[in-house]
Amino acid sequence: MSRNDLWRRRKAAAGRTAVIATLLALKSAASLTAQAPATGLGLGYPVTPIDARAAAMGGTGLGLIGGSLSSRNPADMRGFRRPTLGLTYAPESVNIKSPGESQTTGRSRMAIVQAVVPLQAWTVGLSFTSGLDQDWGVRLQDTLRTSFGDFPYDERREHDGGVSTVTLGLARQIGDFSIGIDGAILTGSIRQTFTRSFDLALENPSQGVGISSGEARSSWSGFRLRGGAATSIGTRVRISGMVGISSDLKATRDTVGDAPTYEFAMPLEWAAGGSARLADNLLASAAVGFTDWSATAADLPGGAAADVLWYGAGLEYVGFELFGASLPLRAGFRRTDLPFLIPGEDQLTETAATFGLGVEVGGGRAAFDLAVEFGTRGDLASTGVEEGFRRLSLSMALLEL
Amino acid sequence: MRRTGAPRPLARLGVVGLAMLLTSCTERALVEVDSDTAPGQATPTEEIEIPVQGMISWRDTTYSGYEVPVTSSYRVLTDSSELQGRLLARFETIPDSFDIGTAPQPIESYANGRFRLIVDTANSAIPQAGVDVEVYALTRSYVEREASWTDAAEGVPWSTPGGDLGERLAFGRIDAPFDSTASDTLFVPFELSTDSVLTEWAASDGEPGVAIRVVGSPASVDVRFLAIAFDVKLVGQEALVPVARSPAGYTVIFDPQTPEPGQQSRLGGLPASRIYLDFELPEVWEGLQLKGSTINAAALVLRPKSPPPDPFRLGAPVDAIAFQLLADPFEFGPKTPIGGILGPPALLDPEALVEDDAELVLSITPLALVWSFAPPDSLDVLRIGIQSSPEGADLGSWSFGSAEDVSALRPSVRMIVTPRVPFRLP
Repeated sequence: MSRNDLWRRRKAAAGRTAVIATLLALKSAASLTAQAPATGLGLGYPVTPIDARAAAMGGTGLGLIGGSLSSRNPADMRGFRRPTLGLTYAPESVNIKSPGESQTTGRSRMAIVQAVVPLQAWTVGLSFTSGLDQDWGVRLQDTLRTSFGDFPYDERREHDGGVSTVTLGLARQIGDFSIGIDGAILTGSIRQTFTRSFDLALENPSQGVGISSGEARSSWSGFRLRGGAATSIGTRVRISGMVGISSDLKATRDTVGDAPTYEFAMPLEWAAGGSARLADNLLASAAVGFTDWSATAADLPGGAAADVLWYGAGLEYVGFELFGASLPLRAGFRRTDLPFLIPGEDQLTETAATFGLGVEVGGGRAAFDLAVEFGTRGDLASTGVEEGFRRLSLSMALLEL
Repeated sequence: MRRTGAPRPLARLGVVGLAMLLTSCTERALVEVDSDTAPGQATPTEEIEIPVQGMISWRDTTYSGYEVPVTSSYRVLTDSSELQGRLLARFETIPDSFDIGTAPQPIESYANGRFRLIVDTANSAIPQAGVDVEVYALTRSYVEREASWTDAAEGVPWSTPGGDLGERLAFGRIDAPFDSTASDTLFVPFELSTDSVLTEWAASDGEPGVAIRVVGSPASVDVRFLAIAFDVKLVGQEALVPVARSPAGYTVIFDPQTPEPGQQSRLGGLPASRIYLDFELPEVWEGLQLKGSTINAAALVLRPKSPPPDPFRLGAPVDAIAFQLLADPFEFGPKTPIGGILGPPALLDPEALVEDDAELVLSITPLALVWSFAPPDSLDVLRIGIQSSPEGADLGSWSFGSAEDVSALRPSVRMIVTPRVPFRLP
């Protein structure tokens, strides 16, 4: 639709009352094109609940020897022998491409906060993780041309919120196997806002028109159950696997709206991975997973969803020291499909090269890990959305509470 | 997407709040250049125009008498074939004693009487030959609120239209051009004995009054201020004391009288006319939801009719103001209580009003916005009054199309509307 098509005439019954009207086209998700951020597709952008160590090693986090404050598999909580508390902050700089230009924006997320407490053969864990990032905003500028005057306006459309999980997990050592289950509350909210602010008329600065605005708030709710197992093969290899199911994700409107409740089918997911100590100072990890997001497609009017396959691999080299403390260096690569896409376009794929390092302080009582990812998601020509990103993950852990 | 009507349970505030705090995300808004391709949900902002026949109901009328000559600032002495205008005045406060600081001293005599007129030369038309100003004693008293060219009071006609003139009291002359740079004050000296006239007025409280007229067609003199000045001699005193007095009750009478508005929708004039109307907007107009939508702007559009005949054609631009009526104007009539002004004044420019497709557009945005979000049945009928401003300062008026006129002249309501955004998920 061209700009001129945005103008519409509404002719009143009186013969001389034909007037010019502006129409800002109300677009459904089906017509989203190149200017949409990934967080604006479908239910949002899925945030991986991993710590910086796992992020640096190709986003794995399953069966990682040495333990990981990720939330991939509840059985992996058995990797901690002492009470541990950690958090991972993961901001990213995003370059969103559109035909002929690109814009840079940023996102920040607290990817995961997790506490793990071993109690003899049992381990209890509590975590808060980001699930779906639905945060985005756009700003438009145009001019409304009416018989009252021509009014330049500034329009903002914003979604603020997302889906998070609050997870309580339990793991037990049974023979050579670590068995774990967890239950999570899917929670959060989303605030949708629309504001169109008009300047004074170009021809007559004393003439103004009122602001247009609207807001809707909805709360997310749902449940997720996961079970997993992990075991060591010898002293140099550990493998891990997980499967999880979720209830429908329910959105309940907190404000007056046309639809009080929406429900979205949530996917079945599984993941498997592990790590192997290739040498005394070299650890390799790999993981793969699948999420059945295509089941959600039917609940997305005008949108689309597809299954997600992800995998990654990485290395950790422990051969340097900093002030007497071990300084592991990490690198990896990961690839994942993104679940939500523009109908008629190809599914988005995210790839990233990952790097990182870590350091333990206080005689091993605390650790800091850092990961940097350089990647892209989507392709403007084939998926209609393309973002380049640089993500920094910073984990801080108290290892012996 | 499945929808259900199940009620929402209470939010799990504590843990949800902590989770949201920990996982909050921020993002700088992207600047989009094309609303067509921008993500998110918006709603069109549209301009519509609803004619009278599109309303659920519409009534309009004209009421007059809000400003009458005695209350208005119209003080024009005229002498022309189209309009005769005279000023009637009565000086009720001529003193019979004078307080010089100790005790009131009786006045022995009056002298040097003259009428003092301050003239608005910018609004006056003085013929090249000049104009005479004459002050006559009236032989019949008048009631200022009721006096007209033909009647001294309601039901009491003048013997001669224009006032029953007696002796000429004073005479003055205005030469053209009037030198307003020197003074805009005109003194019209008494021709008769000041002492005899003022003694009589002091005894009769100024009755029956005077009539002031100009002679010199086509003349028009806008009198901004009128007073009488004279000197008094106190008993036992030699010196004269200057005194001035303003008239207690004065008015202007003119011929011909302003015609009644009849079915016209008229603004202005003297007596001043206002347009009162009420209407019910439709909740939906041509598929566009109005009720519950944001009314960005709303205006009442009136369409001018042919100019009124002289001398009742609006001469100089004035403003038109729309205000809310607080009761049914068709029940309470001209005395319907009025509320606040609804928007900035619109210029009522006689030169623009005669152009093709001329319109008088008056903002009613605040009232329309309240209507849009008012609970059902709480504000169905919008009641609006329109007046000229200043009101009653001139004989001129203008008429506009009403609901009874041909469709091209009927009023309408023009609005800029933004319906509510549905905010569907995702």
